[in-house]
Amino acid sequence: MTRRRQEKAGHRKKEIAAAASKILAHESSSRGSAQKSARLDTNPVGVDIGTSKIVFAQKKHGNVAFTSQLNAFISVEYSKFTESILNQNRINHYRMDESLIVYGDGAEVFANMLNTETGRPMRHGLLNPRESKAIEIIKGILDDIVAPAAKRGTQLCFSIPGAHKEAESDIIYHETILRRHLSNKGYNARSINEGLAVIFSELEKDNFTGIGISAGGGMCNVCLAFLSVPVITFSIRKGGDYIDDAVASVTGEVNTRVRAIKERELDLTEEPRNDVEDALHIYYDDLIVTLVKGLKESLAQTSKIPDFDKPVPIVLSGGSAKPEGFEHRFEMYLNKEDFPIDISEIRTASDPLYATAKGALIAAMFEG
Amino acid sequence: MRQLKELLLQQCLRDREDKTFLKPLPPSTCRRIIEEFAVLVPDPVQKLRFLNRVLERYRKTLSIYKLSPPFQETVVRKLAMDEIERLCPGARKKVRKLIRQGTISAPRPTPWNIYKYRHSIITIVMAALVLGLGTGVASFRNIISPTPSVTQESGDEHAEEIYGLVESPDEQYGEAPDEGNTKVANVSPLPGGKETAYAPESTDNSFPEYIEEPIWLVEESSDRELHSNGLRIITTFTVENEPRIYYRFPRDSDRLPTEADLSSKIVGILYHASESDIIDFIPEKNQSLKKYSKALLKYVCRNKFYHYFINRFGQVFRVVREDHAAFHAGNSVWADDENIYLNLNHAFIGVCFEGKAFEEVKSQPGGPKLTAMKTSTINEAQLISGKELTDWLRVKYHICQGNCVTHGLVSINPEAKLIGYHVDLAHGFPYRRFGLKDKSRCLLPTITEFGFSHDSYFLKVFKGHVWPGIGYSEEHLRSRAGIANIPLAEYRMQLNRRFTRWFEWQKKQKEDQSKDHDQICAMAD
Ligand SMILES: Nc1ncnc2c1ncn2[C@@H]1O[C@H](COP(=O)(O)OP(=O)(O)O)[C@@H](O)[C@H]1O
Ligand SMILES: [Mg+2]
Repeated sequence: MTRRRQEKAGHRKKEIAAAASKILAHESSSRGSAQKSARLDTNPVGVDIGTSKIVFAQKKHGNVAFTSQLNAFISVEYSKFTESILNQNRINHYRMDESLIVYGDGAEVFANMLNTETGRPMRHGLLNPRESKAIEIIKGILDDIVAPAAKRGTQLCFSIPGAHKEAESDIIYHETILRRHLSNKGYNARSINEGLAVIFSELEKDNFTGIGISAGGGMCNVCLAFLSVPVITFSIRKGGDYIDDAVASVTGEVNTRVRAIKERELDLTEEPRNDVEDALHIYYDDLIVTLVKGLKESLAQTSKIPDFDKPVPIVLSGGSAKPEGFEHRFEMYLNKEDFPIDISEIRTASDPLYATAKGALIAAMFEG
Repeated sequence: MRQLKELLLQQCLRDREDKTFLKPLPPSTCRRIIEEFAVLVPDPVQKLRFLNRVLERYRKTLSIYKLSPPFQETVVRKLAMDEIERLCPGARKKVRKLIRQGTISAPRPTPWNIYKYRHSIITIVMAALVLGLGTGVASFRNIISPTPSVTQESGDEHAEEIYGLVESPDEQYGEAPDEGNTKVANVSPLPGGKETAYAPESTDNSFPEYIEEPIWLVEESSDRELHSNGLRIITTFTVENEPRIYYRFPRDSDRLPTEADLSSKIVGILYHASESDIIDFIPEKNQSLKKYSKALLKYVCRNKFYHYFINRFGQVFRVVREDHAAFHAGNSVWADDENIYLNLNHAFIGVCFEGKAFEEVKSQPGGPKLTAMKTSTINEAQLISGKELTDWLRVKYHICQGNCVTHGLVSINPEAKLIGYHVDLAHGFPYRRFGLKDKSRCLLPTITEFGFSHDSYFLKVFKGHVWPGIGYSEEHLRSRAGIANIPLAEYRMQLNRRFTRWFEWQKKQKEDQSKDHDQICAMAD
């Protein structure tokens, strides 16, 4: 009995050590010393706080530099050994009673090694009410990615989702907690609607007139603006996670594998080759239809729309808009609907994963 | 904990209220003009600024200038032109070229001219309208009811605004005393927003509202700081006073401030001259110069008079720490686009130059004891340091140029409702050297918002040559009274009452505050 437990524990340790070195390799190649250079910087900052990813944007030497961390964590049993490995490899973690909470990019690597799922401090774009450690964890990830302000009052803008009918008050709580935390770091922190951020980032040529859509992990956010003034914002609670869960549930595949297939192989212009792909197509269609219908309804309901003189563009962004053919399908479903406004074109953001962060940065620079 | 959450929620809701969501947009023809101009702005951040400012100013422009599409377009065109020139100096020329090429649509000639002479025309038209009112305002409302291109909703809104100018309800003034059946003016914001905060003559658009380039602390030791723009501050004399905390008064309404208007933010810079004795600035007097300056500095510190003191060698001393108030402008008034400030001790940073611009005169009883000197004694070294200090403060606290002004322009006698109680730096201050618009040519909030006036003593001090902003402000007041169709004196009194009501309220708050000082501090945190 004792022996078996020891063996098991030894096995765990090896796994953890292997995971740790993998992360180390990953970190040194991709992340560099974002934190150190950020500390000296007094430039405004944009932060995209998404359900699955937190992205940080700041201007460096005339270019926008991005860094990101997964918005995820995993909790492992505490041992001195594990802790020292995590410390040695500078993997983000903290200790809570008898467990170690590993968060950020490291969490996913650990989860894969240990064959479990990561936890999420956010759900549907907001702090996860079912996760007691949510606030702690998200603060931890933010601390890692956003250095304290070099100068008090440095402008910072972070993204928040659009209101959802059922969660109006939750947004207020979510926004306040994050704003307070970022303000405590010395920033003059303000929030920006995620869809509007996409417009700021992608629709400059259109004088910030058009529809910005961010299709992320936990939800999709939409904003219609005229000359940078938001007129409609809304969100739907379907996103990449919804597709993963639904496909996993109907095909019996594990969630992580579904996601891997979706992110690496999915091409919506091709015929599906197997059950998983077929299910992915079906749920992508479902997502797009929900989005288009939601947009149509919001437009129909509002009385705030100014008179339209010319067609407006739609720009798509976010991780879930990345698969080949997404734009095409969106257009197809849009054309099926009788839309209250004319659309000039549909295009995908130049860098869908970073559009929100870039827009938040522009908003911060505008303030500063 | 629960309570804290409640409080946070409320704060949040307040914050959300002022977001852009409900701001009305101009009609599509106007938006097209704005877009035509926007193409000229090269950078996304600048473009956002441009759009924001044009829309904001359009929103604030009196509805009377937006009655029909041609007028709306003319207003928008003017605003866009102003703003583009502000952001990219020299753009005006380029715009003209693009108009010739047809890239930007050409203005309709007549409305443009009418707009130029809008003040006089409006007065005449309004007078005519009001005379013709006869049976009531109802028919008037019909005349100006929705024009084809504005939506029903916004059309009504406009109608109400104009209606408000002609006859607005008395309760705006709280317990409005016996006003009989005289009409009451709407003491709403200035037409045209910021633009009209400057006198029509002043065309200098070359001073950016904010400084964008960073200025940072390079070195700090126990007794001094060096900043990246060359500014050196001697910190050994720094004293404490009381933490900043004050109420902002809303410019566009008569309501009293609420907790949401409580602030501890630094919003402006107020320049002072010590008006102290002046020793000849020559090498032979070096010892005396030093000795006198030191004594003055100590006096200033003991009395917590300013935040910064610049002596005649251009050395900058921190007096009261920045996050505390200093006793530099007890009775004073200034305003920006949104707010009116009645307590500049708390809202502004006081910067004092050792120097003099007025001299004592031996006079007959009743005559002035002071008279303005031709030139002030503030020297080049002081101007250089003063500019460095100004730039650094403006960057640090994000202070707009409009809120950098001299003591003489803001000081008041609250009981007598007179301007110019103190007059230091009221004339001859080299605003341009500081990258600032000349405030002596701008409208004075004391006059336009509160109807203050000046007396003959004041005129004598300036030998009859008061600064031009006073004249502009008076003219502005007259035209407002004209629009409202009430006698100037009556209009002035209404504004005076607005001041008194706020002033008394603030005084009472301060008394309560000192009683319960700690609680207020906690609230502002
Ligand atoms: N290449 C890809 N193809 C399809 N989905 C992707 C791809 N890359 C990322 N995703 C999905 O996008 C979502 C994350 O997108 P992101 O914009 O970062 O979301 P959030 O804003 O919610 O953090 C996840 O559901 C992820 O699976
Ligand atoms: Mg996102």
